[in-house]
Amino acid sequence: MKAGDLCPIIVIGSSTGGPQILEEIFSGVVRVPAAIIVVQHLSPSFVPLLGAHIHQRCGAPVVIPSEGDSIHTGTVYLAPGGRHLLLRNNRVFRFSDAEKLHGVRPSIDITMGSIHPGTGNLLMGILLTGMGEDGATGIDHIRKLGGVTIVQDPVTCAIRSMPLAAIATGSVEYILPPGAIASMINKFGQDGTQSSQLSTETPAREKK
Amino acid sequence: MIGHPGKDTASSVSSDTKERVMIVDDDRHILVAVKTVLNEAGFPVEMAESGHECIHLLKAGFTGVVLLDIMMPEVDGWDTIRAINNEGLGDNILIAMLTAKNSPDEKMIGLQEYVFDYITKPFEPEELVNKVRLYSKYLSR
Repeated sequence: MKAGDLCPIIVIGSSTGGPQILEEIFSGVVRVPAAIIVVQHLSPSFVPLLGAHIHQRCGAPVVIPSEGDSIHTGTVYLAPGGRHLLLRNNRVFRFSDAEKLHGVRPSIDITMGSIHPGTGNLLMGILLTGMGEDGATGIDHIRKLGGVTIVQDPVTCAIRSMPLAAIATGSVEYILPPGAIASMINKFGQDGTQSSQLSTETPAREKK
Repeated sequence: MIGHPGKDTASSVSSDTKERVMIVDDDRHILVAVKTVLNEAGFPVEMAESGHECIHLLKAGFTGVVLLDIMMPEVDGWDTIRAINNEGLGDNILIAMLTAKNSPDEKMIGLQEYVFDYITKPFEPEELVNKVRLYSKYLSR
């Protein structure tokens, strides 16, 4: 794969109260400028319908990946539930049946943490509503790799502890409501920039 | 693949399904209020005054949306979820927690995947109906 062919990657982590927020976000997504990997804490039986609803909202293909599948720009990938979902070489999916982390499997931290430096993929990490601390370490990891980091505005969350835990790491750049998160996805990578050059939205560090 | 551009997936995503709803709360006033609101919106509603009654209704074959209060005597909402899982009764239900508490209970850790949503009381009737309509889309079969 040539450097110019690197697939931009967006990882969205979500928990309780998340499916309706994901639907709201994808309603506003008019272009899918990356491989979007969604890790939603959810009983496996609900995952296919969540995928159908996301597809209905944004029109993009939605895939529940299998071991060894490669990521592609323009596709939404949905963690199947019950197993940790990882990326190998920032390009290929693999699964793990390791212990639950933060009481959950799949863990958002494990998916985000599987992204490694050095390949040059444009990165974005987004964390939505949920209980506990899953995703905070992952958001910190993505920020340290130079990626854009966003959390759902806790005021709009059914449960705000996951976004708050991420904010506490100091690695969250943007705190946004669902509609603005969709706008950030639409703009992602359009001008070859990332991080705080990406948007005119108010960065988290300026929000008090 | 679940869907791709140009493919009609409308048949798999029904928007007007009226799933059955079970409201589980030890407060009789809440039970009646929720039942009234949801009945008026066209949802069939069953009431349970305890976690034990919830389990009993599930064993009797209830499927649909379960609105489950957290703070109940003897068996609270979290223990009710554990009992549902232990009895293998969680396959055809969607659980949303109801709580009057301002901050979520740490006892939820480990149960996140079983809790679809979290509704804080008091709630507006229209908000509840809209949420139950959304939940129904996830139970459409």
